Amino acid sequence: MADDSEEDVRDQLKAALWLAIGGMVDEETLRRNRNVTPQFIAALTEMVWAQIENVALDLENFSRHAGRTTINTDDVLLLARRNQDLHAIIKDFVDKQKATKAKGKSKR
Amino acid sequence: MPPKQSATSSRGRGSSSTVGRPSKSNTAASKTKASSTSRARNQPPSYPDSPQVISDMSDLDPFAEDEQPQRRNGGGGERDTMDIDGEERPGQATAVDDDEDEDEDRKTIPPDLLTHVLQQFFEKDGTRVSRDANAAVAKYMDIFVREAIARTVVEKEKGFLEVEDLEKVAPQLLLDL
Repeated sequence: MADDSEEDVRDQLKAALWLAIGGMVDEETLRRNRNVTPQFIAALTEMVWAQIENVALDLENFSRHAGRTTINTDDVLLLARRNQDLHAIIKDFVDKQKATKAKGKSKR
Repeated sequence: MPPKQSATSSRGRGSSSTVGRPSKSNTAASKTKASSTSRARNQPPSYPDSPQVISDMSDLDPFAEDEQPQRRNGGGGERDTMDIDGEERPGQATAVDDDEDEDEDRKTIPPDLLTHVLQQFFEKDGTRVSRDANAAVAKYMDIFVREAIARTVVEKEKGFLEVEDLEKVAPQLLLDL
């Protein structure tokens, strides 16, 4: 019974992910003037799903290794350690986020 | 200004926003584009965030182009301005509005959805995700998806993008990200 509902939640999450990825694919393909098959979106969704699973387990273990139970941005940066460009993008993103947060606080 | 735009967009790759758009929105967008591009060029000092936005985008592309270094040389200087365009220009927003969505410049994986999916996979009880970290993971997955599409586009030069094309780029993609 509990398994059933767990499955249901999973299916719903996957469907939501599918929708989100479908939107992104539409946006990209429209911009590039290309077409995709629906199966492509399905396959990409599966890939992203599997990647999120890997990422989730990595992040969890990174945070535990640092003696935390909450995953923070350092863990995400560690995730991107093997790809310098990706690391730079994520770092920029995180720094920008911190900057806007600091700005918001100083205004208040 | 508009002719120059079209010249750059035919040269640049996916980040050129005018390429695959219906001509009705194209003309409309290029007007807004002309004005807002100049605005974007004049204004950077007043937007402390914009340099980071630019580097976000320009970093995103170069490594989509690992297989095609000659393009990096081609559009390098101008891509920055084009990416400003893509990221924060009103013209882009109207273009997206034409499609369906109105609330954001670009579609992404919703952070709330990602939180739930991540929670699904956590094995230990009590693991939580900070809000910033969640947004960063959303960014990561956004890059993942766009990278997958970009690589598949390079892999398959014309026709529909199919599962087999994704299969060809998947192994290297998974190693790279």
